[in-house]
Amino acid sequence: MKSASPTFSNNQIDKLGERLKAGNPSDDDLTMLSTYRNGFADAAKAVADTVREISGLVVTARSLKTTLSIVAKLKRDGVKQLSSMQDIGGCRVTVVTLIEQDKLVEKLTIALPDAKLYDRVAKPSHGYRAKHLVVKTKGKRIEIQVRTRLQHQWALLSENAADLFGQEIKYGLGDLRVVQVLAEVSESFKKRDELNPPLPFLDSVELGFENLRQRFLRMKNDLLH
Amino acid sequence: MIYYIEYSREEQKLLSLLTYPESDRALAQAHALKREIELSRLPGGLKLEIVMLEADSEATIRNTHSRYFDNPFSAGLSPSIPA
Repeated sequence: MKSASPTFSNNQIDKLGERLKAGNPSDDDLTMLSTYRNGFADAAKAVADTVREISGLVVTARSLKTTLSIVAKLKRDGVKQLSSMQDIGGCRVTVVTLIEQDKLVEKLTIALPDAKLYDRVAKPSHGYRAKHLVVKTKGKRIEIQVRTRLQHQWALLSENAADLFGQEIKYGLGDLRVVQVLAEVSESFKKRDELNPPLPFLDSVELGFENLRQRFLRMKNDLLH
Repeated sequence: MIYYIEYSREEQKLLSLLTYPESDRALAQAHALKREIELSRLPGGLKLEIVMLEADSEATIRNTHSRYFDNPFSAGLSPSIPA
């Protein structure tokens, strides 16, 4: 069964998605989207509480997908219906090692047997690595992201690049130099994550983030002039 | 605690950070909607990210969502801490 706010049918939600995709949403469209999205808050909180209980970790933050991100996702191929979007509500846990990641995902899968695993460590998505579980609670699909700290850092780097060069960068499109840098860093972080034992501490200087950021800013500047 | 954020992707700049207790979630949601409608009426439409995050502390969101803050890589290296 598809998820939907008790107030709206899936058909209404999908038509809203079409209007959002077309652009220039009306006040009523934004109000409807807000109501629909807010309907995920209680389910997201319930899932975050469960994850905290199972993992013994602080669940880092609960968030609902922003309007800009929803519209961008609707405009991309593969996500045709707003009612089938699986990450309107979600939460995230960050661990240190791949082994910890696997153990936590295993515990979550046992505790939440209906959860569907999306293993983007085994099958990275344009450099993005993480393990996602989608669980249905209170009639809503909620996404749990389990990342190692390096996978998380790469995701931040990718978001930063997307802000500078356009969201298509996250999907392997756009400025090829940036895509190449992200691919290289992703591969490098994968190798670091696979070190056993893991490196005890990595700071942002050691990881070269500031250099990468400055490199991105120079690339952006080159494009503008 | 609920953290309301307005963020400019174009400028890579945090424009607004407001906090609400969880008991005021409806108030925060209403404010977010009001701002989205206001911003969508501007020429070019809605360009800012309107974000609502729920977390135990601001330090947490500076870690998990550091791109919204001044230096996107100044934090984010810590794994989740024990509950």
